[in-house]
Amino acid sequence: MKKIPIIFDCDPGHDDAIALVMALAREDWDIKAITTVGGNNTIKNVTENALRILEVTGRTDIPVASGMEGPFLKELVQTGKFHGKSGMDGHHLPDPVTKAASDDAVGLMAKILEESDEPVTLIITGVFTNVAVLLLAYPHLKSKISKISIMGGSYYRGNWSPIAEFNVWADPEAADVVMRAGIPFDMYGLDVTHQAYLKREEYAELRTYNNPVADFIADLFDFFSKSCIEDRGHPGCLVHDACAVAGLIDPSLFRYIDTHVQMDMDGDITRGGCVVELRPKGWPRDDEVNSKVAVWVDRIGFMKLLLDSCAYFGKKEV
Amino acid sequence: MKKRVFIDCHTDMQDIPAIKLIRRIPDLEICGISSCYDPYRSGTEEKISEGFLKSSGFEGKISEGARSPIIPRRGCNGGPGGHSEYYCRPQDGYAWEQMFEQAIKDNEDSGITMLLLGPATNLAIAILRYPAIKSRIDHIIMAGGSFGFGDVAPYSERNVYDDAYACKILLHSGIPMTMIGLSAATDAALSRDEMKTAVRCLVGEKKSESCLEDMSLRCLGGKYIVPSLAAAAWMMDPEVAVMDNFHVDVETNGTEMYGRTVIEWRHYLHEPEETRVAVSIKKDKLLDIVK
Repeated sequence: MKKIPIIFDCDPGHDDAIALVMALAREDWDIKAITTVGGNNTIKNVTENALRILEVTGRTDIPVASGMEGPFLKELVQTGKFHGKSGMDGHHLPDPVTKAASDDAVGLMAKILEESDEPVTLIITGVFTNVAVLLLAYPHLKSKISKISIMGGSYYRGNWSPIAEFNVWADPEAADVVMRAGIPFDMYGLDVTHQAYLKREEYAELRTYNNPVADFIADLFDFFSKSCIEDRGHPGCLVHDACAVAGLIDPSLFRYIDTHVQMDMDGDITRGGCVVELRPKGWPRDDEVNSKVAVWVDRIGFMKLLLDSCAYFGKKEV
Repeated sequence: MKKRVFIDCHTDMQDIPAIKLIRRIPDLEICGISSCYDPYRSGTEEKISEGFLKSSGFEGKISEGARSPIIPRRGCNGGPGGHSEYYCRPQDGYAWEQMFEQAIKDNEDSGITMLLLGPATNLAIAILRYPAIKSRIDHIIMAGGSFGFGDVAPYSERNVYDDAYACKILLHSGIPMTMIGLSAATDAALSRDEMKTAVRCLVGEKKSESCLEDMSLRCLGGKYIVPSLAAAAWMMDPEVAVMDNFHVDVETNGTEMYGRTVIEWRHYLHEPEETRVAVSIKKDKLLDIVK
């Protein structure tokens, strides 16, 4: 079976962890590396979290490389209260036994792309800094990236400002570099990720699977639900980052529009927001399409995919 | 031991006089040269010019740099810049790779000086790609920016304007920086005859015309105002400039102000003043140095 080569750039993070578990359950994916970036938490913590996830899923064969500690031009702002002190509170996993293969995520990504005979798919579920530096420092490798699946941005609503989503808000210059690179990207922004939630009674099913990965994910859901359901009044626990993985696995779960997306870096109150061309065709508008923007998700289908991914680890010897 | 300087510059003929002047500095060794982002070079002229290769006198490899700025100007502040993409790695590697290689040479006790005669794109990418380079660069000398008026916009000097974000990355890097810009160089504005004589002294009769031709963007109101030459002269003899320390930042928003170097002149605020800025250049001294 020909496998799809993937590089997964992330900052785990509860929803990153769930997204990673979904990706690791794919036998038709060849995950070449997991790279980490300072975002949800410090680079040290998110890297250790990535290693922990690989240990609990039995996939320590995948190299992890830590990358940029913070954004291009400003200090890193962490999302601490949502993800807890460790960046992945809620389930105690021991300190990782495995070590990161490198502290040069950009170098590892470049090496993988250089050596790959076929284009590689990138998944970004964290701040865009690593990938932006990759594209700036190795412009000739853009042609080796088939597409980028992104959790980030939004077209109406924000979480870190009224209109800006955290992953792009945290380093808008980096997001701009990625969006302008000429590489097609699928964008799973807040408008669609807010439709991708699991209710408490739905993710409770994970407890019946009797496998350590499902237990781990259930604990993460329990912790993350506090901020999603109790603090913010969402109908369930949002799983933002998992959308960027689910869309690659089964695009039929989503509806997309082909359109132009760019970053706002100038506005006094809109800096870090995405400008998504939503005006109807026929109106005066910028028609240079650079992105498929997800606008709707089949929530039940998404949930089933997520639960099946966790169940996979019970059938597989970990 | 000689100090080492890495020069990031335009690789047509406009910066050759400055490079020739630097080569005269006895205790300084040029450890690398790279080609800066140059929006005024046509898309068909991506290669380093033959004239530059023959004239620079540098025997090491000259590496190619960015073909577009870190963040291009957008519609709101003047439209995009940038050239064709790289479809393969340049034969001698990228500018930022060579900068890092030279900066971390482990047989060297001290770091390097970076002399930027064009937009700051390449060094900004080096800083982003190799954060460790920051501790190995002793000093950045930037020929660009301005205390007051600009050339390409009312307040914006060309080298900063062409990649304002890159300049901001440098100014925020914590590396000691000296800025020798347009307003100071204006004090040493040279007539065409003066410039011709100066350039002849540095590059010889034969190449002087092509240098002057490529310096045409630096000819304002009939006078040559050349921060690159002023920066090279300052490296040879600091007495050529009156310097002061300020906090400096770059405006990356706006339309008319985009690319302006904003210099906090109010010393009485007692804020940190990290950047050394040339306030004026002494023309007579500059001409003496060149001769």
